[in-house]
Parts: sequence; structure tokens; C-alpha cells
Amino acid sequence: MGFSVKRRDFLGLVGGGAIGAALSPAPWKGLDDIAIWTQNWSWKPRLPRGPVEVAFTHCGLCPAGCGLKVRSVGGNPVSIHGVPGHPSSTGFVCALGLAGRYFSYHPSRIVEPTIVGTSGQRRGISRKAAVRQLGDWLDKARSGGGHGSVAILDNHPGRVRSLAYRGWLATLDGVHIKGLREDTPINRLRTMLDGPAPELGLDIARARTVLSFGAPVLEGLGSGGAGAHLRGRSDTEKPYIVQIETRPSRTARGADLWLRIAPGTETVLALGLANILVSEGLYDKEIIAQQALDLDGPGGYRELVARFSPKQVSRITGIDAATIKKVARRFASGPAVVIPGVDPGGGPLSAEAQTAAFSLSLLNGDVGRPGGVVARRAIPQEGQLADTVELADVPDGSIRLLIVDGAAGGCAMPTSLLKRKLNPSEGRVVSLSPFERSALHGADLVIPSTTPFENIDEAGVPIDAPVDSMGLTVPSMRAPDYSVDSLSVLSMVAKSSVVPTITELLRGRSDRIHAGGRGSVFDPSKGESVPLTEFQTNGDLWRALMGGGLWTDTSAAFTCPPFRLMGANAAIRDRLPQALEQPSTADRQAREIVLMPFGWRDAPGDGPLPPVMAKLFRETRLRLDSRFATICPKTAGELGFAQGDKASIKTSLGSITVEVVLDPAVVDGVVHVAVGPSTEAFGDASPGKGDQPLDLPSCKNDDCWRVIPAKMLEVVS
Amino acid sequence: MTKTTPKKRYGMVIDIDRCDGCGACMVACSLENNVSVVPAGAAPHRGLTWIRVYSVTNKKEYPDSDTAYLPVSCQHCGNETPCVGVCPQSAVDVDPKNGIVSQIPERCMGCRYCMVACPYHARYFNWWDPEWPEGTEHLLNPGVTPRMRGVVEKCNFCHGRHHAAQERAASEGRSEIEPNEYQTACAEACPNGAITFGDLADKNSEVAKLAAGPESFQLLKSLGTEPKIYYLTQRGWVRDMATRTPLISKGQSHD
Repeated sequence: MGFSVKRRDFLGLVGGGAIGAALSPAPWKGLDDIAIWTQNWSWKPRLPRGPVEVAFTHCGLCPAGCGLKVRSVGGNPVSIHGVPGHPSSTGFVCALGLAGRYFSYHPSRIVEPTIVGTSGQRRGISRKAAVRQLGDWLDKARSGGGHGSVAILDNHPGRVRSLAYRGWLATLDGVHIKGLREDTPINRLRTMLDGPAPELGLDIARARTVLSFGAPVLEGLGSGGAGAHLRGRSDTEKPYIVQIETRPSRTARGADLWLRIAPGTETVLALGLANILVSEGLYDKEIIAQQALDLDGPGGYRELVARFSPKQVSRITGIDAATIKKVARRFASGPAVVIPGVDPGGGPLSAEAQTAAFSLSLLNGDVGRPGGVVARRAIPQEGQLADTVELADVPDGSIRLLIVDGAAGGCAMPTSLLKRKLNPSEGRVVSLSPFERSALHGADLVIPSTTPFENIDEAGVPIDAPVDSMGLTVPSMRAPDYSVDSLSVLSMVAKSSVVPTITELLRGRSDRIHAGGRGSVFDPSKGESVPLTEFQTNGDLWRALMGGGLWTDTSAAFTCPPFRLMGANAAIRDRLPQALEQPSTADRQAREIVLMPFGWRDAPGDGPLPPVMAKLFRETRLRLDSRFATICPKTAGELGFAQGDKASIKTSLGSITVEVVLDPAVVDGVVHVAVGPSTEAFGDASPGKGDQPLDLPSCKNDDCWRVIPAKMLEVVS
Repeated sequence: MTKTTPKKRYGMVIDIDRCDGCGACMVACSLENNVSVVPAGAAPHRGLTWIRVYSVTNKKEYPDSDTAYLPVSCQHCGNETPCVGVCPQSAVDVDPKNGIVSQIPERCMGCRYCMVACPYHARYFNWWDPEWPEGTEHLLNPGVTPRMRGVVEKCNFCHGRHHAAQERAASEGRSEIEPNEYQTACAEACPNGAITFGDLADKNSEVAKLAAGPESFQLLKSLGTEPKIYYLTQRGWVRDMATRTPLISKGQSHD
């Protein structure tokens, strides 16, 4: 009997073998081995190795100055954590702070001084040449102009560095300009007090009511932990938060009461609330009788607010009269804090809105009482200092040389506002920023400075701190050789030793604090505070501060001085009654749309962001960046737009192209666009500098760019 | 798969009513676990986010409009873990000692079956080589190896921290780690205390008490996967949305 293999047998053998092999582990093991090859990808990061160290410092990225615990490996900071028990930040660190160490390597970092040549092109120059050029411009500005022809825009006023700026400017008859920050409006309250006023702070933690005019109260306003505390505390302990805001922000959505106010009508609402306080006698009669200078009489505050009846106010603001009365009565029931918010992108309220808002604090007797506006004791200063003003108060065309401090300000400003203050023919801008910043694209000269994690500085005092404090941003990274401290630049230009170093300044303040003998020092490694008196020498205090410690002052008794409810500025007083001339909400809806730019608290948009922040924007759209416009479905329908459509938003100054996002919580006739992050903010290799919302406002009248008349048109591809 | 009864059962309780959508958890997670940033121009659903905060609204107009922020990570399913059964490479591992579901990138061949199987959209594929700006590799977490292109990754309850805590305990002669020695980066970073992490098997732990509370629920509970992530909310519409309807698709967080 012969053995023969037929075709069918052969196929059966092959097929059976294949099936059998597939059921065996062999092919899967093969796949496993092949999968290993995928490890051989083209790029492998070399993870840091070396001794592990832990150090404490403070964050210098915003006014909050949160306490940080920095873990370093081989001298490189590999993680940042909050400091539990820290008197100010209480363990909080925002997303930006967690990733802040990446700023040092940001692709948009400037690595050499650059100057705009005669052809308009920017080119690199040596530091020596840059300083010489700055010196020439300085001499020219001084010879050609009078008071204020030289100015420094200080993005973090209030530091000892700011005092050095002012001392240097005093020798030049220059002016020190405060950059826009969330604590800027409190200066308005100081101007309403008669006579010299101390530094003021908002005692949010002990307030019964917080009346926020668009401030990001629950998004990190003030000391980093404040918002978290307001959320975390039990209902019986925490203040009742009333958010007065047009945009459905995170704070508006999380507040106890959100008053969705018609755009730009905050002055009307504030005076409407005052109307109820006055007419129902809910104000602090004793304080008002003793200290108010302009309540009664012709043109007085009482006469002014009488015009703002709840019915009138409701017609303009879109908030019903019963709610206005309810809020006023709640406000008057105890200590309250009023915050005229500065939006990180939308900027401040108008001057009259700030005045009207703070008049409520004065009416309620909140200035000088716990849970309201409290005073901070000052540390004595020496020497002659130049005036400090706000940018809005600088005469147009008066500046011949503007030096812009490189600190992270936290708030973006329209380029047009800055340019308006410059002399049209001879105005020069010198930036000391470490980065390309959209607001400074027009700088004539850039001298790169250090980033916040590379340089020692003062952390600052947040708006909600009831007492003064001093914490240092102790460097956790080495500054590259191409960067230079701003005071060193001034020192080189001054060609003398009149400008002290930042370390000398900080040490001097530390010594003065030690000599004062007040307050306590928080030790972050132990999580506890000890009285300052236990520090035997000023060197002991300095070492504690360099170790990430925080000195906090004791509180000071403060009696509210005489004040003017309508402020001392005649122009603002005259504009207050004009608020009633605004159209009603019904009329508004028939008009063209308004653009309301806004910014994110930890990503204001005119500067770079650590790349990982892209997780919140383009990788998830948890937050919408400047490529998107949020609009209500009704308005979108009337204009012919649907979700995802491309639209062009036009104003008198230009246009931006955006993608439409529908949100039923947005007010009819309003479109919200974030001021950044711009496309290049995350350091991508292929950026495309797009127009930003802040390129659109003109800011002709009152240095306010919250509400911009605009048109929304379909983009034809 | 058979149901296991681990010695520990690590899990999380997320209070939706406390979450304000700040995204600190997402950033902290990415920094802790060396999660790379995808190139500009990539579609939002290609982003790598081991924990992703979704913004959801009730679609009503003011004053009835309401928004909730829903942080979603791997749910570390305790029963019939969907991604485990479909993986041809055995690249998904459920640790019987603590219930942590982890991905083994060295085994993963990138078939993405697990991504299809996951009902929570909590797994992410590396479409690109991981890249960080020049110089920043010195700032990466040395305790976590970056993953390569072509593999899937996801939340592993900060395994690097777990290992570090175990090593520390072992060096001190202890076999068990103390509860306060192991915390995930997202829970640590949340400024509002919305995320509580711990051992669900320990009835006295904060996380177990919260998970057992009346306001607690699990995402898509009807699937029977027994997630170890619990959520809390007092808002009915949020609970209805999260338990009854499929999760919103990635990139559609603003609906």
C-alpha cells in the first residue's frame, strides 16, 4: 500500500498547522518581541540623575506669591508642590505655578539683545552696544523733554525693586508707572480718602458678603488659597459671594448669586445699590455723618443716587429690581468687601465704575473694619522717590523713553494704549522682558532679563492680605549668561553706583523689618510660625527668608479718615450721572454686537506659557483660547452662525477670525473672545502670530476696553 | 476574568460640586507622569490627558444655566475590566494586591483594542514621538519613564509615587505603606479638595466613607464594571447625565 499525499491533504496540513499555531502562544510571543522594537523610537529623553534636594521658595509669576516646595534632582527642579500651612497660599499652587520651571527653556525666550534697525528689521547686538544705545536714548529724552519724559512701566509695583526704580527715576525727573494688576483698583479707594492713605487690603476671609464686579474671586484672586478656601469652607463660615459679571466665568457659575449684568453697566448697578442703602437708611450713619464730605447739598451723593431708582437700574442693567433690593440688604447686613475686578484680559472697570463701587464700601462703614478694607503698616523707606502713577494718568504723547520691566504682570493691555502715551516722533520703548511678548512686539530695543525662577526678588503682597508680608523668590535654577537683572541694566546706564543691587535692597528691607520687631516668621520646613523677636540678629531673619520663610506683620488699627463718596476727581464726578444715559437692555439687543475680551487668571495671554498648559487649551478645549468666540444661540441664529462656523469679528481698528462656540448662558448681542493664549504661547515650532482681541480696542476715552462695538461677519473661504 | 478581592483597593472620590474646572489636576498629572504635549494642530481628541476635565452644561438659559466640571481618568474597573480582556499582548495588568489597573507600554503593540473597549474614553494613544522643548528633559520626573510613539497610556494612580512609597517603607523595614505616604498628583494639586484618594478597602478611610455615602455614584454603573472612581454631586442633572448616558466624546467638552 503506497503512501501518497494529495493536494487536499497538503492543504489540510497547512491549514491545520496555521490554525494550531494561531492557538499556540508562539505568534503572540513573536508579536510581543516585535513590540519591543517600538521602544527604539527616535528620541529618548535623558532623565535627570543625581542627589535629591528639597528647597522652599515663593512663586513670582503673579501677585499671589504662593509658597513653593521645590524638589530638585542633580540641581534641576523636577517637581513643585504647595506648602501646607503657608499663611498666604495655604498649600495652593495653580496650574501655571506647577509648570513654571519650564519658562526658563521656553522657545520664545530671547537669548541676546535685539534692536530694530532703520529698515525695520530686528537684529541682534551685543549687551555693551545695547546699554550704550539705551544711554544715548536716555540722554536724548532728558534733553528734549521735561517731567515724565523718561518712565518705567513696572509690572510688579510695590517691591523693593520698584523703590530702586523710583529712586533712579527721581534723579531723572521721570515717572514710575504702575503696571495693570488685580490690585490696581484699590488705589481708586485711596484717592477717595481725604489726606494720605496707608496701603490697603481686602479682608475677604472675614467678610460676610463679597460683592465682586467681575473679579475672579473663585479662580485664584489674591492669595492663591483664597478661592479654594471660599469653596471649601462650610456655608455658615464662608462669605456670600455675589458675582456681577456679564460673562459666564467660572466664578460666575460658582458664586452664590450671579447677576448677569448688561455689558458696561456696572456704574449704574453700583449706584442703584447705593440708592437702596441711602433711601432705606441701611448705611453706617455714624461714619457717614462724621466723615463723608459730599453726601448732602447740591450735586451731592444723595442727590446723585436718588436718580438711580431700582426700576431705572433694572431697565439698564437687565437685573430685576427685587434682586437689586435683595443684594443691597444682604450687603448692608454686615462687613462686606467690594472688589471692582480687573479682568486679566478685559482690563479694569471704568474709573467711574470703580468709584461707584467703592462708595458702597464707604457707605457701609467697611473701610477700617475687619471683614472689609483694612490698612497695612508700612516699613519705613529712605531717599527721594519719583512719583508713581497709573498708565491712564500719564499724558498722551509725553514719554520719550519708556523702559518696560520684565516681571510677569498677570494682566494684558492693548498695544494701542501703550503707544498713545509715547511721543509720536521720538518715543522709544526698551523692554527688559525675558520673552517675546505680543504687547512688546513694537519695542525698539530688547535686553533679555531673567525668568521668575532664576532671580531673587520679592514675592509681593496679595490684594486680600490684611497685613504686610515679605517672602522671597529664591532662585531654584541658574540664570543663563545672556540674561541680566533689570537693576544691573540701570546701573550700567547710570555709570555710577546709585542703583543698588537687588540683594542689597532685599537685605535692607529685611534688616528694617528685624529692627521693627513686629510680626512672625513662617518656617516652611516645619509648617509653623515663630515670633520675630526670637530672631536674635538680622542675619537670622535673612537666612530664614532665604530658606523660603515668610514674614507677616501684625495688624494695625485704622480709623477711616474723611472721604468723598464721589471721589476727588471732578471729571469722574461729572461722568457718574451720565451712566443713566445708557440704553435699556431692550434697546441694546437691536443694536450691533459688542465684543468683550477676557483673560484667564493664570494665562492672561500676552506672554508665553509652559507647553504643558496646552493640556487645558488646545488638547482638550477645557478653556477656549483666542481662536474661539462664545456667543448665545439666539444671537448666533440671528446672525446666521452655527456651532463651529468661522466668523470674522471687526472693529474700527481691525478684525480677527474665530470659530463660533454656542453657549446659552451668554448674553444676547455679546461675543466673548479670550485674550490668548496665542498660537505661539506654548512654544510650538511652527507658530503663526495671529491678531489678538487686544489689537482691536481703541481706548480713546477712558482707558477701558471691556466693551467694544463690533460686527460679526461670515468668513468666506 | 474572575473577580478578585485584593488586599488593598485603591480608589478615588471626586466631588463634582467642588471642582471648578481649573485644570490643575491635568497639569499636575502630566508633569508627574512625564506626559508629553502633542504637536500644534492636532485634533483635541488626540491630546494625551490621563485625567481630563470635561465641561458639561444643562443647556438651559440664564438664570437656570448650570455647568459642571467632570474629571475623568481611568476608572480602574474592578470587575470584567474591559481593557484587560481585549489586549492581545497582556499589556494591561490588574494588580491583585491593590486593584490598580496599569498599562505596560513595553508590551503594548498599539492595536488600540483597549481604547475601543474602554467605555470611559480614558485611554490615550501616542500618535507622535514624545517631545519637550530643548533642555527641559532635565526637568522631567526621574521616577517615570516617558512612553514611546505607538503605544497606549493611561492613569495608573501615579505608580511612580506608589513605588517610591513602597521603597521607603521597605528601607524602614515595613511591609505596608501608611495612608499618608501615597497620594496621587491630581489629588495633591486640587486646590478645592475635590479629589480624595485612598484605600477603599479600609472602611475607616476618608475615601471609603465618601464612596459609601448617599451622594456617591459611579460612571455608567449599569455596565457592571465596578469602577473604583466614585463621584459626588447634589445636582440631579449631573448624576443623570453621568450614570445613564454615554460619555461625551473627546473634544466635545463645550456642548
